[in-house]
Amino acid sequence: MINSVLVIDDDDVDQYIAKRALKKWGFEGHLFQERDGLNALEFLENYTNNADQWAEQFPPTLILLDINMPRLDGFEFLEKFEKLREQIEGLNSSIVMMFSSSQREEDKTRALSYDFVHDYITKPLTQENLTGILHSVRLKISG
Amino acid sequence: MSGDTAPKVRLPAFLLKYAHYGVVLVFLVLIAVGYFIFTSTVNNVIDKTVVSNAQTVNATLNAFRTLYTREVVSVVRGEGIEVSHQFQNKAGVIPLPASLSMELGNMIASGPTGASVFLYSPYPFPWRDQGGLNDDFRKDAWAAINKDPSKPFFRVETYNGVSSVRYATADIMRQSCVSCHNTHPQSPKVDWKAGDVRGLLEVVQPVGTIKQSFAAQERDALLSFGALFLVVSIGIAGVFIAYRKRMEENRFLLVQLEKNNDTLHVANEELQQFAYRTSHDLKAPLLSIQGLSQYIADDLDDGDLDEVKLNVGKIDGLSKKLESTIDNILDLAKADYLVSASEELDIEGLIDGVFENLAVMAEQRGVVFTKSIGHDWACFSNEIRLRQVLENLISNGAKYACDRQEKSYVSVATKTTDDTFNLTVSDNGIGIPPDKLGSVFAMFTRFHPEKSTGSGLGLYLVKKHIDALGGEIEFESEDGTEFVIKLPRATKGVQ
Repeated sequence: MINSVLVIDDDDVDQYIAKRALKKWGFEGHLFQERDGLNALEFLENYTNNADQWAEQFPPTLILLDINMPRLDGFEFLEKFEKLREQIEGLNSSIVMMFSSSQREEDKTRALSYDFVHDYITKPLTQENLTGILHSVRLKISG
Repeated sequence: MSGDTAPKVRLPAFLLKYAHYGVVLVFLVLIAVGYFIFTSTVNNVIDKTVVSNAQTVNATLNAFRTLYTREVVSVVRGEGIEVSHQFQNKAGVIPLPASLSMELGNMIASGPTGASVFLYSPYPFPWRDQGGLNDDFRKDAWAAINKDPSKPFFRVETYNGVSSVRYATADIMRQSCVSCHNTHPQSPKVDWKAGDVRGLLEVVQPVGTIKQSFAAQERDALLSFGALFLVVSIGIAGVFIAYRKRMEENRFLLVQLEKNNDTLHVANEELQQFAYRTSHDLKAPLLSIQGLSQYIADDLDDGDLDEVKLNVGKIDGLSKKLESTIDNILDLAKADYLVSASEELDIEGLIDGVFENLAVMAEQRGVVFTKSIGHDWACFSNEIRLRQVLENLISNGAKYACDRQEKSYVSVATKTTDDTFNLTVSDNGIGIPPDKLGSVFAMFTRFHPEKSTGSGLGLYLVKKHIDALGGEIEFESEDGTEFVIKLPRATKGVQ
């Protein structure tokens, strides 16, 4: 069961598209939105408070992560998030999906080298590719 | 370059580096060898000439003596004329062949070659005062010639303090002399046979006198040799200097090449980053438009026209963003290829023009544009570049106005110093975040992504233009931002 999704993207339109795609697919859980890697990291670090506030919605089951962002980009976020997962065990249940406009193989390989990065999809996010992804996420969670 | 091939390349380079020294060394060795060959040849010729001279004197005396014995002494003895070593001032006495030979020898000795002639023998010829075998040469010569009387014996040695060739031949007892010698009342020995070696005829020829006769030729030859040396030296020096110069040029070119290589490397990295970012910045809005279009279609089906209107607005915004990115990229391309002849600029008109272009934006953001003109001499620069610079700086000032300010402004001021034309663009906007101060002019630096949708290329473009104009740009950001552009004092036609 996908309880909640965190979308990390600096682009308002892409945030909107992600929201619409999730809605169309039938997602009814809570949607967290952050504008860059640093904001997202701060949000995830604040684990105890958020767990109190959001109960089973936190930590997010799925994190949709963009690459090109100000302050802390997608790759920098992955590095920091890897360390954070070692400190906060609860975060290990979160699955990361990249979604980016970059089709470069090297970006894809680099992102997928992290074992908690589940897939790499290129924008725009559609209901169709989201269905495939979420299906595999559900399999992973239940497995 | 791999480690394996490096030494193979380095060895010839090393040889090349010192090749000119090698040439000079070979030249010096050749000169030394040439000089040695020349002097030893001259000395050889002199030695040969000395020996040949001694030989000639010796042979002449021998021939004369044979002739005198056969044609004179033998004939006159039958006529009752006495033949004796005591012949001087005596009537009816002619000299012995040996005595006459000695007289002739003495006369030759006073001649120009300076040769001395000696006739001596270990046998007791008491009237001769030539001393017998009284030195090493005479003893060696006697021993050698007794072994083989047909061969002369000679060597070079110091004689009476002078370097000389001593040349000795056998004095053979001739058939025509045997009877006389064995019967002569004054003869010291009476058992002579024809062919006996009875003594030695030695010619001493000083080397110096012969050498002196070669002095002029030797001097001429040395002069020619010196002249040749000089000419070749000048040639070699020319080659040496030319080579050194070429090497220096090569070194200079190598340094240039490395510099260019570094520049290219940086440019290449910049280009790669540029390609990556522009492909993202060009593609991202398009992908967003695709995504939005899909939901607009959905909303139209559902009759949710408000949402459609909202999303059409978003598509409009995205296409404007795309347009601005494309404009910026085109400007950048122009910045690289713009031929920047400088011309006298109507700077006030230029500023007003930019204000006018940005008037709509200023109105939307509630920003007031002001200018303050204070320059004393005309600005010579490139209008297209300077217009783009001002457009970027002024529009940045308007875009990043601070909402908390009661009255937002962007102002442009001109001022001249002795050598620079200064343009100051200042605002009271939100300023540049401290962590971005180091990368203000870098490509794709965006300070306030939440505030506006810039391409991150604006200030990079500004810096590129200012560099091309030979100017400088500085900034300060604290309660607003101030950019100061300093353009060099230039005249028409000069960049």
